[in-house]
This record gives sequence, structure tokens and C-alpha cells, in this order.
Amino acid sequence: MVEPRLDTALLDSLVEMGGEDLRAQLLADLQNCETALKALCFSDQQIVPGAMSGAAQVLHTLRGLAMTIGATALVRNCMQAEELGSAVGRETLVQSLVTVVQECASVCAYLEYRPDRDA
Amino acid sequence: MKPAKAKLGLMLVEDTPSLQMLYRTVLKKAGYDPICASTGAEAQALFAAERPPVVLLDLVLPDCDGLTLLTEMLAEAPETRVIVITANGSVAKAVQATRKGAFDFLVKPLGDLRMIGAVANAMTEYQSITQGAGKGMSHAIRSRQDAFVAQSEPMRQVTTVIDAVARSNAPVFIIGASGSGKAACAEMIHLRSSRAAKPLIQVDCGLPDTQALEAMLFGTGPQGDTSQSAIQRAKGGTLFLRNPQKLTPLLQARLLSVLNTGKSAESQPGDAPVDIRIISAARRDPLEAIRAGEMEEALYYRLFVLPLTLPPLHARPEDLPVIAAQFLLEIAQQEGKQFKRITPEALALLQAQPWEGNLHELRNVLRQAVVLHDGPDLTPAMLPHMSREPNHASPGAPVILDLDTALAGLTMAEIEARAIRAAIARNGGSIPRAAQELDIAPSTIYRKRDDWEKNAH
Repeated sequence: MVEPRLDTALLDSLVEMGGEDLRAQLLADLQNCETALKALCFSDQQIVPGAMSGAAQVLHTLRGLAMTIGATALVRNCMQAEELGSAVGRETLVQSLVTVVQECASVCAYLEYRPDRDA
Repeated sequence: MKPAKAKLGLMLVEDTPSLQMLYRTVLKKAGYDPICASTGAEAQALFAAERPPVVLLDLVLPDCDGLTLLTEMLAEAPETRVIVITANGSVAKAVQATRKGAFDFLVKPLGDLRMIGAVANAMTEYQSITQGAGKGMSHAIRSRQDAFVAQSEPMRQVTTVIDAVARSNAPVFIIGASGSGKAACAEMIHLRSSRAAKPLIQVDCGLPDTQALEAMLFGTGPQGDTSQSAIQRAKGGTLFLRNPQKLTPLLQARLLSVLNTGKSAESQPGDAPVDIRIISAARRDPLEAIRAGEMEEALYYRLFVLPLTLPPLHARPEDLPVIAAQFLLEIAQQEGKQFKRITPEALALLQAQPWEGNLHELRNVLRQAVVLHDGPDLTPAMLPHMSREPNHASPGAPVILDLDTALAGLTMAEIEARAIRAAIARNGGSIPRAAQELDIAPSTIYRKRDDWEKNAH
């Protein structure tokens, strides 16, 4: 799994402030976004303009989350995917979403198994 | 931090559960107890039931557009102070929201201090509005506002924009030629805002003495000057920055830091963010300063939120008789002369001038006439240096520009950006009207502005 590029100090300070509930909710929200995007990438569903608008909502939510927790690479990946729109082919769109999903999974993994979680 | 207005209601509308939880945690730590909604429908129901004075509203909701919700809430309760939340890269939408009456906007990721500061300001403003502060305007203030003559169509449009921006807390950028009344316009916005009872502090950022300017603006110069800063003196009121594009890079960075963090050099740990409204002014859109590498783009986009363009005097001839009469009486009183009126012939002569120096030039011409002559009538003979030729720059007469020269060296994207910005400025900041003039969809302009902002970061 790729090491997530994120501001771990910021993320840790947020979790410290909001406690276990916030950590769990952040993780759940990120995983929901990841699941929704995976469904678009790996199901038989066509990523056509209509479906892309569904993805756009998820990408927007994910971007807001990523900005808040300092996941800079995920922010960038989301923005790139959002900018693609419907002008490019399915393969390019899927590739872009796969990148987002991979980065999102890395961030989720960090949140789930933070090194200092039990410290 | 213990906000004094913690008992006032606050509603938080955010659809992402973890972000709602995070914002609620921050607000609770600051003493607020927000009611929360996750959808537009929930927000509508809670708003109708609770009528919270202050609303933090995410603009992107799963079941409705945040802008529509904003409009509905303000239609139901115009005194509500709505702070909109948007993601970085969607600032154009936040600007659109401020034009629709939003009090302030916050860009994700939200800084704790910035969010608490915005809420505290909104609470304060709500209280001042509902308790009538700012409504009982003094005669002197009313009189100064009346002096802002707006009988011409261009100036009527300006006063409409002034009324709109005065209700907001977002930064205003006034563009106008020398002498076109930028300071009066800033005063007008301040006096019509809920901050009217608080100070309006003016700083000319073009001062050549950088150290003195730094001390004046931030209170602490490199030599340890600790005089109170303009930023602190403007607390609760308005800071009017003339020519911010002329600040040195270091001072631009310091100003940007204050705007981003709400902390000034005098701030102590735990202090609430400095509550100031910024109005800036320059002769031209400082975009040229960015191109020349003289202004930080980040600062430009922090200041250039609500643009307001003042027309030159020659473009508003209907206003000239009233302005000239006011100036004449004022100068006559100062000089101990008995001037009472301007003859129609003298007025026609005044109206025919190009007035490149705008109001400053008009005032100088009238002072010269008053000092050298006696009243009660101001006649053409007292205006010997006025051109008797028709004013070719008067409205209706097209101004011929050498476009080839003006556009030389610019890329197509720069020409397009310049044309769009000019159209927005000509239309008093209205993007729909600018789009109509350019025969394109408003969404095209919003998208392009988003792109400019993205490229700026």
C-alpha cells in the first residue's frame, strides 16, 4: 500500500481534540467515499456524464475531508478527477478514480492503525 | 475564549458527519451550542422552528443548493447572519453567496480561530442590528452621505452596489481614477454597515517610508516601535487600505498572515481574532501589479472579493451641477467669500471639461475662482483656463483606443481574463450582467474565475 502523503501532525491533533468518536467518524466517512468510488470504477456501471455527476458529489465531499485532515495528495487527486469531467474517455476517468481510491485507502489505513493510537 | 454571546442560537449545516462533528466540537469548546442539520430539508425545518440568529452553512448539500437555502433563510429572516462554508477552489461560489447577502465566508480547511472569529462577529452584528445600533445615524454622518452625489445612472448603480456590499462583511475593492471619490465611497460603505459606530481607519500603503508604514499598519516596526497599529485601532470597524499593491513583499506577507489567521502582532495567546472589515482601493485593477510580480496573488484574491468601480467625473455629467454647487458653497465659506450660485453659462463650461483629475481638479478650479474673485455668481469669466472646445470625452462619445498597442504582448488567456474582469467592473461587480454584455453564460465566468483562483495557488 502506498504511504499516504498527509500532515500527520494535523490529523493527530484533530483526533486528539475530537477523541475516538471523531477518529471513527472520519474513518467511516472516508471509507464511504472509497466504497462509492470503487463501485463506480469496478462495477459494470458506465461512467458516463450522468454517473460522473454522482462521482462529482463524492469527490467534492472527499476533497473537503482531505483538506480538513491535511491529506494533500488526496486533495490533489480529487481535484484532478473533478476537473476531468465528461470530455475524456471511460478509461481515463476510471484510472483517475482508481488513483483517488488508492490514496483514500492509504489515508484510511493510517487512521485505522495510527502508530501512536494506543500510546 | 469565552464568547459573550454564547446564549444566542447558532445553526450548523454540514452534510459530512465527521466534519459536522469536528466543527461542533470546535464551537462547543468556544462556548457555543449549535443545533445541527445534515441536509437542506433538515436545515429548513430547524430554521423555521428555531430561527437561529447565526447560521454556518455548507454550500454543497446532498438535496439542495446552499445558495438557494441562503436566499430562502434571508427572505424569511433578513436579520439572520449567514456564514457560508466552501471548499478551496470554489471561492467564486462563496463570492456569489456574499452578493446574495451572506455575512462572511469560510474556506475549507476551516481554521478554528477563523471560524470562531466569524461566528463571534456575526453574533455581535446580529445584536447591533436587532438592538438598533447603527440605525440612529447622526445628522453629520447623514450629511456626509448626502454629499455622495448620485443623480447619474452610473452613480446610481454604484450606490446600489454600496448598499449591497455594506450588508456583507467580505472585503471590498474599489477601483477608480485619481479624484473619483474612492475615500468617500469607502466611508459610505462603512457608514451604511453595522460597523458605522466603530472606527474607519485609513492607511495609504503607497507611503515611501516602509518602516513608518509597517509601524502604522502592524504596530511593530523593525526598530521595536510599539505604537498601536491601524489594525488594532480599526477593531470592530473598517480598515481602508489605499494602494495595497504597493506594499513591499514582506508587508504583503504580514498583511496576508493577519487576514488568514485573524492575529495581529499585538495579539496575545488566547485572544479572539481581530474583527475588522477590509476595504481597499486603487486606481486600476491590481492584476497588473501581479503580472509585474509586485503583488502576491494570494493577497489579491483575499482583498479583491467584492469589486466596485467608480466612474470618472466626465461619465456622470448629471452629477456635476450638484457637486460643483456643494464645493462652491463649502470653499466660499472657508475663504470668507459670498458665492451663492453658478451661472448656467459657467455650468455649461464646467460640464464640457474632460476632468482628468476628477473631483480634485474640479475643487481646485473652483477654489482658484473663489480666491481670485467675488460672488455672488460664478461666471465663465472667472474660469479663464477652461477649454471652450466641446468635451470629446463626454459620455456618448466613443473613446477610441489603439487596441493593437493595448493588447500587445498579452496571451489569449490574459486578453480574455482582462475582457471579463473589465466587463464585471463595468457592470458594478454583477457577473450575470457582465455575462449578458459579453454574450456568454454566467457559469462560464464563474468557471473561469475558479480556474484563475486555482492557478493562483
